[in-house]
Amino acid sequence: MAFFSLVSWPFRFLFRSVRRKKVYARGKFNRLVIIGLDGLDPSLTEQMMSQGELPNFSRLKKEGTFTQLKTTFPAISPVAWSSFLTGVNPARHNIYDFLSRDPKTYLPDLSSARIGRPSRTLPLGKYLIPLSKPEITLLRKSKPFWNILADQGVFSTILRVPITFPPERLSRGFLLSAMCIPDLRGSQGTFSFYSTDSKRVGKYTAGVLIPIVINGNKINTFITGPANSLTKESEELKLSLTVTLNQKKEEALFQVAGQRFSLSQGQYSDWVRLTFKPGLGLKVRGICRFLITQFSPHFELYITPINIDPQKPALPISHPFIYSVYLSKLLGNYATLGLPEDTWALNEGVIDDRSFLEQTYLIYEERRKMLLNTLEKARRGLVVCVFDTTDRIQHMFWRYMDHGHPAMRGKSPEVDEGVIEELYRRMDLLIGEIMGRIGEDDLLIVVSDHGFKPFRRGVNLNSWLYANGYLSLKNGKESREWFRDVDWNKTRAYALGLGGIYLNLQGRESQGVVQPGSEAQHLKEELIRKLSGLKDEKNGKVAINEVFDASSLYSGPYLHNAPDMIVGYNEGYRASWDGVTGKVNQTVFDDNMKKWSGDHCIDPRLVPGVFFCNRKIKTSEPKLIDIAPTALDVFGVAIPRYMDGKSLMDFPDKIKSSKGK
Amino acid sequence: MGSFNFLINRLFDGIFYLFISLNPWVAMVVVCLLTGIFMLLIFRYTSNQKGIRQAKDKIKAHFLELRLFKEDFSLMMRAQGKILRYNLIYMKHSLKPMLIMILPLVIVLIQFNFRFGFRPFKANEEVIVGITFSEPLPLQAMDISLEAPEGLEVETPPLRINSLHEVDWRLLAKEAGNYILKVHVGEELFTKMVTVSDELCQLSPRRVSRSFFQEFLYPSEPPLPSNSPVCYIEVKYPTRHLNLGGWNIHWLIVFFVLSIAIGFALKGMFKVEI
Repeated sequence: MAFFSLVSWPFRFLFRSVRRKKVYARGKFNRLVIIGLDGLDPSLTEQMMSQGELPNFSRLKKEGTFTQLKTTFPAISPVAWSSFLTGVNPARHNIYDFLSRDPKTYLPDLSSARIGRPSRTLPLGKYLIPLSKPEITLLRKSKPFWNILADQGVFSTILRVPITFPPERLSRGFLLSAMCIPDLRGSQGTFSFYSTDSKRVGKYTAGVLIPIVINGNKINTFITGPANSLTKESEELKLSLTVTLNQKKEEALFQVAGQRFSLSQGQYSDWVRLTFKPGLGLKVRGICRFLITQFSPHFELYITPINIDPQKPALPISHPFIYSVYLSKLLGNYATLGLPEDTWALNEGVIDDRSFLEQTYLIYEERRKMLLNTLEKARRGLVVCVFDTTDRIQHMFWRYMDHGHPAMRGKSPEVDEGVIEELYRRMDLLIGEIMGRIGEDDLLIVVSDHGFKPFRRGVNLNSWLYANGYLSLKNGKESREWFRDVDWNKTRAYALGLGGIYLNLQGRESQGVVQPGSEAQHLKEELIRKLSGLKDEKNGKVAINEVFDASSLYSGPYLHNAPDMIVGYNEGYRASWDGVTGKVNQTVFDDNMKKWSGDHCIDPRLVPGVFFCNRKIKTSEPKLIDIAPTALDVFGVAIPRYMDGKSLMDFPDKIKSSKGK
Repeated sequence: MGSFNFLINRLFDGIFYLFISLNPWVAMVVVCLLTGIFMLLIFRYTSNQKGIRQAKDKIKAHFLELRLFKEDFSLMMRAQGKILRYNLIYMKHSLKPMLIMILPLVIVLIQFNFRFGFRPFKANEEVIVGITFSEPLPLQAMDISLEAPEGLEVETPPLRINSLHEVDWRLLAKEAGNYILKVHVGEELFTKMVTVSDELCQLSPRRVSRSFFQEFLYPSEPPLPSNSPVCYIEVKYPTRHLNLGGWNIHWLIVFFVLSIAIGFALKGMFKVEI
């Protein structure tokens, strides 16, 4: 077999070369490079370009196109990127928010992926031996445009585009998944925080606090890993961690999983590989970074969520499987978690602004190296890479730009005030690097899925629904998280996620009370009328511009899974933190005191994205869903009729120069 | 050199003491284990572990590149070039520990050779003893004789081979023991050890004249006097082979295969990147 493979290689190579030539002969460009800068705001970009601060973006604008890019309803990343990659509206790709709800339990589910235990197991003593693979299902529907291209023979390299987990098979190309890849614990990112300060003990969103005690100069503690799915008890796997403090030098020596390394305060460790042993000789590997956030008076340590080790992934995170291994061997370890920048650790005050910024840029550098390596090696076909840095930094640092933001009251910036401007300058440098690596026959498109606006005040729609008699509680005047005290038999509507309102519909929800048909339609109209233009009781400002009827926004086979209404908040407003998690109380409007101070989950008309291209396009109002059909058009592949978008390019004839042929 | 050899001999005698009357395989496995661990530790503390890890990762990455980009001929060629480049870097990182390891390893090999390379004579076995001179001498006219202790019997008169500057005798080993042969060359007297035994012990196939290199290679006996015309006195011990399922295997092959296998098996435990 090996001999045959060796002997036949020249013939196979020749055959592939001829086939490739045929495939690319249809294309108008040699290569299409699409860079996603999540959340890059067109107004801010334009403002900085006019000040001469973004020379590379300005060059793109001058030589090609710069315009706003219409985003999706709602303007939420999983929805927007799903439309980007499929070219269809949400009712065809089935993603309406980060969260969807289970109509049987009213509990939230991750909207894009489901990870379950193996369906068949064999009990053996204390063990449950899996006889099948764990169930990992992609809930996003429709076909990504790179799969259509690959089926036609166009090679694609897809790096960290959201809503690509679990990775779909690509007949020609590579894909590294992104948003919704869990950490090793199965969550969307759970940090660990160790403190000797008893006052810090409490509940942390997206994190666990582990109290520690110093004995002499040593701390003996543990790192919590995944739950052991091999045992019936499913106890958490742990690794012992010893920290030896050197108070004089303000340094600590860490000993974990056979590794030793020293850190001083404020210094991130490299990725540290952790190996958990659930039994039967199996190993589950993860990587994480350590950071001493405080040495005295209390010793405090932060450990990032344990990312799946890309060299030995516990779950598939790339296609082919070896692609994630290849990248980590070539470029070093990298963050694999869907949302690796630990915004909650900053929100919860576990890390400071500087540490968050450093962490975010470390992840950015990893991605940048991946992209530059891809640009060097994938010299034909499609390259898509999405950077989240822009989104995370704007979410967390918009308060620096928005003077008077509630989160900054009585506080001064911990890092340079121009952190967002600096971010835009860095992105400009990145675009410059990319432009330096593409040829005349390459088409470059830079997009963002949405823009950004301040998030000053939160609106708890569930509280509003309660106050206005649409939602009922069993006892008292408050409900704990996830509607635990809601009386569903008397509830007609509820809000879940960042922008959706659902009717408690009979036949759909398990305890539905609203009759489908006219009653439902009347209720919807009533809520739309009452909520559109809703004013903030504190300052009289309009908090909700408009509430949209989902059936008029979307069309497609998955419309039944959509929220019944989509809320378009005004600038400065968003769903409140309590409202998002299904809490009901007496407060409809509250100040956003968190560092998460910028947002885009508002009226999509207020937060368009950016569109840059090194060529002119034929329309002045491009939409995010136009990117997929444009990509197909670039390679001369027919655009499927189900796609809602249209090609942005007008190709008079072949654009390729002779050099590129 | 004499003191050094004395110390090394005693050290290895101590190590092998437990295995004297056991099957040589037992000794071989244990010494391979010890050698493997010893080499691992030297490698760990003298090599650039980070550099080795990085070079290995790059080599693996470019191997994967060959598989991932099999349609791009020029990229495959570049990947091959990089594999070669990182192999050289890997070798560079391995050079220092190799250089540090080479001397102790040679000492170990010499010691092992005189234990596993030859076996002692058995009772009633013929023994060939030869004396070789460093320059042509009139051997036929010279007064050369061999005096054997009780337990050994000289069976033949001296066989003088002028062309090889060599004189040989055949003896018969009558019973087990460590014996000292006396070789008379004119007025001068030279001695040579002979071992008749069933045990695993250090043998001295050759007693050499005083020279740093020769003494290093043949450490089992003190050297001959420096002004002597004798180059070396040799006892031709039978070669020892390690038997595995009816196959006779040279000890050196067993040693390298076993110690390398043990080194690889234990590298995780000792956290060594090889």
